[in-house]
Amino acid sequence: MNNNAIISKIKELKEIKPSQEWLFSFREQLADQAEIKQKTGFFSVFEALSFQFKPAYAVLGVLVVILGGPVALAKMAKSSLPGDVLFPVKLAAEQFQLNITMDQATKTQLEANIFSERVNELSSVLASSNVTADQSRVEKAANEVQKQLVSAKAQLNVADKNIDTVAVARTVGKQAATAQKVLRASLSAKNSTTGVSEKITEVSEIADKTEMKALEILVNNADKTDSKDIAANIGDKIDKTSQTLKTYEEKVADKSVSDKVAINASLILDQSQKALDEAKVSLDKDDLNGALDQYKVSQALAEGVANIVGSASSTPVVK
Amino acid sequence: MKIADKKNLLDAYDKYAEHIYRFAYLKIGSQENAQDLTSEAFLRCLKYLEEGKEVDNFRAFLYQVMRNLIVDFYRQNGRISSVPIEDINEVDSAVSLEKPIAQNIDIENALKRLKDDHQEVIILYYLEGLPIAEMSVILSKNEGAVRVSIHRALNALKEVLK
Repeated sequence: MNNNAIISKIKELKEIKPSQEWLFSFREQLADQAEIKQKTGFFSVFEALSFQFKPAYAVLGVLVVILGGPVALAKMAKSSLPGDVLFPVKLAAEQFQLNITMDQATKTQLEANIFSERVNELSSVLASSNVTADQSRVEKAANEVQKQLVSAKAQLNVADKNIDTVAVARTVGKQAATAQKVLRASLSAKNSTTGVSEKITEVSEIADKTEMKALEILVNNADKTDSKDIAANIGDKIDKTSQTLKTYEEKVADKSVSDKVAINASLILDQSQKALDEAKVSLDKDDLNGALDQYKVSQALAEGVANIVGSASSTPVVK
Repeated sequence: MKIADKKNLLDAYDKYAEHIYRFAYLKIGSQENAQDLTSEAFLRCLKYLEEGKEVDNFRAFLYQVMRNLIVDFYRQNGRISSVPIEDINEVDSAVSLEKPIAQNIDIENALKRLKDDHQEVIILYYLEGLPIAEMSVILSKNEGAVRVSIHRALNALKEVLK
């Protein structure tokens, strides 16, 4: 093969592109983060509020004085939820706190607390009696959780000698699992519009991938952590997938599904079940790596069935 | 952080995110991990700007950050030489359906078999079309060394493709 032919082949790799959804979604997050990072410090709390209200600054200045200054304002904002007027103030105050924290361990804990707070906010919004009427608030809360998950997952990929990656993986894994429970519960409640359901499904998938990433790190570092916990975690996931596969079996057996779709789905379901059985065997032998690998194979195949079943019906598929 | 910096960062994202992603993907072989590392590269750039520092050349800066992130990634996860299962379903979205998939996977796999520095010069010079002056900044080598690397890398790739 001559040089020109090789160079021509290399240029074909330009077809490799990221998913458009990720490209646009992360751009939004980057723009949001940049906006928030501008709003730090006492004056930024003032700016965050003025961004919401847009009244004359003189009126706003009076308001800040009456309320006891930007610090008091930040305290009032603490209980605000996504969609509330004071919510940007809450985010600005959190960012300010992060920026002034020098100790890495404290910073990591703060980030974990912020992640928990976003999940609690989503939970509160979903528990609200007006949830059916206020879908945009649900979507905003889900977006905030998504930002935290994307940031946590990106951190897990990077080795930093100043960070105890195993401890971070443990914390992020638990938080991602909690976020998934909240998100799944909201989908099961079936009080969301289609648009919001799609958003929640998207965030649920990110939570699942973040949890898996954290679990991979823990399995790779099983000597530094409690392997019984990890085994129990993998065992739980295997059980959940087993139940999910049974649900898919029922859907595939539904008369409304065409024969061709049913045959394809059944074949993949069988492979998925086989991989899951092998995962259980590996787990029994304390082979955590083997169990996780087979679980991932099973999960990937189950996703294939979910796509086939999902396109045969209009209901968003929950993992 | 100045408003102009914020605008420059977003402009850089619009221009370079796809290229930085592609670099990461060809080095680590996973769409998901490449997206994660690309996110992290831009977040680090944001942090750098937020600390009051200036970036003269966003593209070169982002490639430098990405190279460092990939080193960390290898350290943590080991070198990955095969296509991960989560990407099997997504091959169609990453590869043109006009070309046989086997051809593109061939060149991708061939690249993976090269040494890191040969991979990088092939990607940066032939695929992304970067000038040698900029590559010398990214790779921390003088321009002469970069030219030699390009020549050797292409020969190495030719050998692998035989």
